[in-house]
This record gives sequence, C-alpha cells and structure tokens, in this order.
Amino acid sequence: MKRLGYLLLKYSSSLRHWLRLHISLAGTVYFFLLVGSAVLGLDTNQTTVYQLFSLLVAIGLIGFLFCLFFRVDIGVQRQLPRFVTAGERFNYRLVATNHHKKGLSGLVVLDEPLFEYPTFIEFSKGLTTPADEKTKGVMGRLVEKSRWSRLIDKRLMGRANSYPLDDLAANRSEEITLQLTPLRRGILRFSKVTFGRPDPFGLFRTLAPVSCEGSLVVLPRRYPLPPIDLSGRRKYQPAGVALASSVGDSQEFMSIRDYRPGDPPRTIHWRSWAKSGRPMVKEFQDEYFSRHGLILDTCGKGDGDRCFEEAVSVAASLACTVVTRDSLLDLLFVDRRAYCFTSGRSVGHQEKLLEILASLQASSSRNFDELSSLVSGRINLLSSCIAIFLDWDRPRQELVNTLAVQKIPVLSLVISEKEVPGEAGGAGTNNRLHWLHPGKIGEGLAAL
Amino acid sequence: MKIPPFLIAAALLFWGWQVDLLLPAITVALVVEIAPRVKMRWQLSGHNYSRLVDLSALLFLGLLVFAVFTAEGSGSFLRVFAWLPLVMLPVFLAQLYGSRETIPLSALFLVIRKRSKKSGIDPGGVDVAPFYFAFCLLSSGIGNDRNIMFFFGLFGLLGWALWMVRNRGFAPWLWLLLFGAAGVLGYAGQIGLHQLHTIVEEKVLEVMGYSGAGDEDPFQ
Repeated sequence: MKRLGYLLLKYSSSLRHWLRLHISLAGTVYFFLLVGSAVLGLDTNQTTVYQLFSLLVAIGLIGFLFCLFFRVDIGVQRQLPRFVTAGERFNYRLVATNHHKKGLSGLVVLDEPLFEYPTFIEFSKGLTTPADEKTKGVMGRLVEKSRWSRLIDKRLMGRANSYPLDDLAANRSEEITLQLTPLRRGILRFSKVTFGRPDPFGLFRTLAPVSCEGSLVVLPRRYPLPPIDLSGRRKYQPAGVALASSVGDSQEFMSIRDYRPGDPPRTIHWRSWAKSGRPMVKEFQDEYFSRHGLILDTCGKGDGDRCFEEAVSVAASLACTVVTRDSLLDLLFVDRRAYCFTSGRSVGHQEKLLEILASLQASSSRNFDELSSLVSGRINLLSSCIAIFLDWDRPRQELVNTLAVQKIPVLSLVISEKEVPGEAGGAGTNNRLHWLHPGKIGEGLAAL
Repeated sequence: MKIPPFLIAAALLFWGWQVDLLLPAITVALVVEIAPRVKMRWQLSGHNYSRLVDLSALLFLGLLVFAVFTAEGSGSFLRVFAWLPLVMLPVFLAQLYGSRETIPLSALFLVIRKRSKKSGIDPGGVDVAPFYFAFCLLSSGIGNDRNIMFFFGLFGLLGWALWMVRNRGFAPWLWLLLFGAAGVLGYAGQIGLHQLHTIVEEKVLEVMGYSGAGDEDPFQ
C-alpha cells in the first residue's frame, strides 16, 4: 500500500509539473472556462453556455494541431557564475545557435535545474514513527501528501521561468540573459535547456529539450551581523602560520638548531644531520596570534531540518563577518568524520569555507562526542570560540564548560524551535548564550 | 498575463446586457476601470484577504441554499450562477484596490492557508483578473435570450483576450484566419450540440416511456 501511495504521489507530481510546462496561464484560464462551460452548458435548453463550450473546443483543437509539428536544431552554451547565494536572484547568459536552414520565431526558453523525485526508501523513512503509523485512512493519506510535499521542497533547488527568445535566423546565434533564484544551498545542476513554442493562441506550449549540462555552487544564505567581540588571548601557534593548516614543504624557518626531545620528527633537517653527525631540526619563527574556533553542531534531526539550515546560514554569516586579517578562523564540524577547515591570513579563503558549508548535511545518527573530541584536541590553539548548537543539552553544556575552564571565551548560539529555558546552564562570566528561533534569526543576531 | 484595459468592463457590460442586470453591470464596470487611475489603496493584511474570499464563498453558498429552496426547476436553479460576477466581486476588488497586485494563495485555498500559517512562509499569489473575466463569460449564458448576438459577443470578447496573449511568432493575418476558422467551427459545433442534445433527450424520453413508467392501467 505504501508503494502504491508513493507511486500515486510521484505520478501526480509529474503530471502537475508536465501541465505547468505545457500549459500557460492563459491555457489554465482556458481549461477553467472549458470545464465550467461543459458543466453549466449540459442542458442546452436551459442555458446558452454550450455555445461558449463549442467555441472553446474549436479554439483548443486548432491550437493543439499546431503543437504537433515542432522540431528544433539548436546548439546551446550556458555561462554560469561559480558561486551564488541561496535566496538571492542571479543572472546568467545563454547563447543559442540555430543550426537549421530556416529561421525560428515565437520561441521561449526554459532552463530548469535538474530535479529527481525522492526514492521510495526516502519516502517511507519518515512513515515509521508511531504517530504516523496510527494515522490511517484519509488522515493517513494527508500525512503522506504533506510528507511528500516536504520531501519535494527539500530537493527543489530552483524554479525556472520561461523567457521569450528573439527571432533566431538560420545559422545565427542569439544571447539571452536568464534569471534564477536558488531556493537552497548545495550544488545546482542543469542537464538540458528546453525550447518551447506556444500555439498561435498562446494557450499550450510544445517543448523540445536540448542537452546542455552545467552546475554551480549555491552558498548558504547569510544574515547581516553586528561586530562580534572575539576577545581572547593570542596564543603560540607551533610552526607558524604556514603549518597552521597545511603540511608539506612550505615551511618558513629561521635557523637550524640541535634536536631537543619532543621536537616533531617532521622538522628534522636531514642534510644538517648528515653533515654534523647529530640530529638537527629546523627552527620556526614563533608565531603568536589569535585563532578563533567556529563550532558547528551537525548532530541534528537530519537533512533539510529547518534549524540545521539556519545554523549553516549563521555559520556562513559569521565566517564572512569575523575579520581574519590578523587571525585565523577554524571551522570545526563532524560530517563522515571530524573536520577542521582554517581560513584567514592567506591560509584559506572565505569562499572555500562557504563552499564547504554549502554541501554540509546534518544527521541524526551522529554522536556529539566526536565534535567534543575534535574541539578538545584544539583547545590549546584556540583564543575564543563561537559555537552554534542545535540543542542545549548536557553534552553541549559540558563542551562549553570545558572551554570555560581553559579560559576560552565562548559565544554560544542555540538554534532551536524549543522555548528558551528559564536557566541557561553552562554559561559563565566570560561566556554568552543566545537562543535563536528559526524564522527570527535576523532579529536574534542583530541583538548580539 | 496582463488583462488589457476595458476588457473586463466590456465583459461585465456584455454579462449585464445578456442577463438583464445592466445597471449593476455598468456600476461595477466603472468601479473596476477607475481602479488603475485612482491612487488610493487599502492596506490589506493576509487575514483581510482571507476574510474577503470567505465572504464571496459565503455569498455563493447563500445563493445556492436560496436556489435549492425556491427553485422550481433546473433552469431557475442554474440562474444562481448568473450572479457569479457580483458574488466574486469582493475578491476582485481586493486585488484592484488592495496593496498587493495579486490575491494570496493562502486566502484562496484552506490547505495552503493552514500550511503557510504553520511555516510562516508566503506561498505567493495569483492574479484573479483572468478568472473574473471567465466568470463574466460563463454567467452571461445563463437565463439570457437565445440569439446570434450572444455567440458574436463571446467571439469578440474571446478574440480580444486571445489577441493579447497570442504567439507573436505567427503573422497577424494567420492568427486572424485561424481564429475565424475557430469561430466558424464553433458556430457549427454549437448548432450540432443543441441538435444532439435534443435527439438524446427525445431518445431518453422514448426509452423511459417504453419501460412502462406512466399511464398503464394495472387492472387490464
């Protein structure tokens, strides 16, 4: 039964999408009139509405006949930007070349992002809760429909509009600027460009897809932030900036000295050892600077969770706002494993951080301890922390306490739909705790 | 899809002429056509739009109930639908004189209303002007006199509306030729439909009469 429900929902969505592509707004009004006149004009002795029905059928028939014969031979090139931001409209160019002997006119262009319907497994995942199992019959169908809509919304990267194309003469090219608003962060992919020709009356559209692949990265939506005070002690960073986030040969060193127990084997200067007969190591310029941690909690309800999406947006906003001219910013999170990405002081770029945030996924099966261990391992390097949590439970409070014990100032942002608790435990004198509610993130951040 | 100026006024006057409600039609047409020329706008919230849609729905239900209890046959019941342009007027005026250029989808559909209330996301709106035009055309064929002017009126109004949304890739003369052909086909079709209905009705009555319902004397 579940599979039948899934198939019905999938095909009805496909049908709605097909109708949206093939029938214009005028076509929608046409069908509204057609059905209305069919119902009201059933009795031709009582009303004259049947005359309207007959006229509409004749118009539709002629329009439909013109839709049967439409072929295109068009080459397409798409020029996309590398990055865009979720929720912000962007422009890009499309160059269409008519390879046909005859010119084409009255065409429209539709460039829809690639979309795949949820699989049956994804659909049935959420229907295993006791509450969902109890809702049978009509309510059960409504629950399924609502869940299907949410799954579609999670996957939909953007909706394209149709744009009229100027007359395309034979063997000529035409450039057109298209607009698209990406709905969510991630990778936005294209597989084809669709050319359509409305019938003479503008009611129906016949379509011809042309293969043209492309993709771009949609960065998370960002909020304006007030200046954040990240006061923290500058700390000694072993091996300087160059080794802050990379390994390899790009080491800046001051001099060579004798090996001391505890020196990392990687700093051994082998040539000097060979010459002198005793171990020698490279000595680096001592670097003291601020290193801020941006901790992102990815142990949430799962992919598409509203709180997690807002958390990523807040992290992206902070990554762009925190000035890293003289400091470094470490993004700490857990995906398949624990990750730390560093930006600032020409080590890494903000864009790279945002690109990483664009593809992050939440998971309900992750253990918060992994994130705690990652942060604990870097405590000696961090000057201050901004932590973005999805909950304020014991493990998270303990992490903040651990940082507080090390005298590392922590700004904790909890993004949750729950009510603010009476006592926000775990925040000390040097630590600040703020609750942010999805839908009111902007206001919450402005109050920081 | 932008409705051209005066098209809805023309549809309203056509409707008023056909169903003998010319005075209300002229009044509504004036109110509709001065809207773009008037700067005053009502600041309507989503809640206000929802209430106006509910008002139209209630008016329609009220008319239906009235028709059920007072109608003497299907013809007088159908007469309720002749009032559609007036029943839908609150919604259309909300669009013309409201702060938004469209009617919110959440006001028109209960399901979307509940979903958007829960999520706080605006689901967008729809331009109801083309649908109001459709209501005028549909209502004009109810309770009117049967004459050829009705078909010509429909032909003219539909032609005007479709001319604005035509595909400009086709030459105007071709469009006019095709629309003319649709008119001829449509006219022949409506004659055929009426004849077909008459034939079917006669056959049904024949069959019903043949099945024994009526004047048979049970004692013979």
